[in-house]
Amino acid sequence: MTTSQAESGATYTASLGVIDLPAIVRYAGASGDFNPMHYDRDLAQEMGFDTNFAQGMFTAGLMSVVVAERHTPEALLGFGVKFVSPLWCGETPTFSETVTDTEPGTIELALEVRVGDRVVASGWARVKPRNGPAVAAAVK
Amino acid sequence: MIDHEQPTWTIALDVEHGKCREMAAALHASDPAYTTEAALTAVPTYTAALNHWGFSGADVLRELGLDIKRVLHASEEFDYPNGPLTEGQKLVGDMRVVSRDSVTKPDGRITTTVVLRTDFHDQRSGKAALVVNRTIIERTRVAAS
Repeated sequence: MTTSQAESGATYTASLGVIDLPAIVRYAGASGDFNPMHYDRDLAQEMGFDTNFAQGMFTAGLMSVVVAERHTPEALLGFGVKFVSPLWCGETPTFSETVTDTEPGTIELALEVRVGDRVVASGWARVKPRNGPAVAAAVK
Repeated sequence: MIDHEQPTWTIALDVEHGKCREMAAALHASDPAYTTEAALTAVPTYTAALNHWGFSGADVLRELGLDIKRVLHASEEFDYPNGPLTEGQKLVGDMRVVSRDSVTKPDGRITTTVVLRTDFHDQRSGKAALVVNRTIIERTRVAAS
């Protein structure tokens, strides 16, 4: 492994795009999670929430795909997410990935999804390093 | 505390082309491994679609004696001991309760944290395919009397 590939502390950020009602409904169809709190604004507000919000596993899935595509799908050894606050319908979250440790054969990553200063989810991933500059080139 | 009365569940799951594509599209995936290759790779959180194979998370909560309206999904963790899931695999998962703890807060509310672990193996090869750890939390409105 070369140090340029994944230096501890290297951070990558990316927008996850707007999580609007069509995106939430599309994920509901794909996953089968049809809890109405995710697509029915009036019901969510009746239950005391600001509005309807994305499925937690939708956020987790978006995080996992960003990591897997950056490091290649075969490189992902493990992934975890902790749900911290709701991702409200219409928000545009930002994903960040920070290298926390590098060992022979593995890179440890800290993950976070935020909307502004608010943390929506935090997580971790463990990936296999790969030779070549592709990952280093994408680190901002 | 875990006692011997805790229920367990067996889950069957197929890694299918159409479901792989649908999950990939919903999660904005663009890697050809997820979107166009003849034998697709499943997105890392493919098992979130378990409802499509007759699995009911609501039934699990009911069997655990938890109130679905008061349950939050706190965390989810995945380990891929033999790489990502790929199209054509038939998986069988054994779900069990790893831990269950209840804490009574000063205001009388009871917070119950349950960790569920599912070990999926490939039905054909018998090899471990995926381990999923899910943590759920139930917060009661008032302490049970």
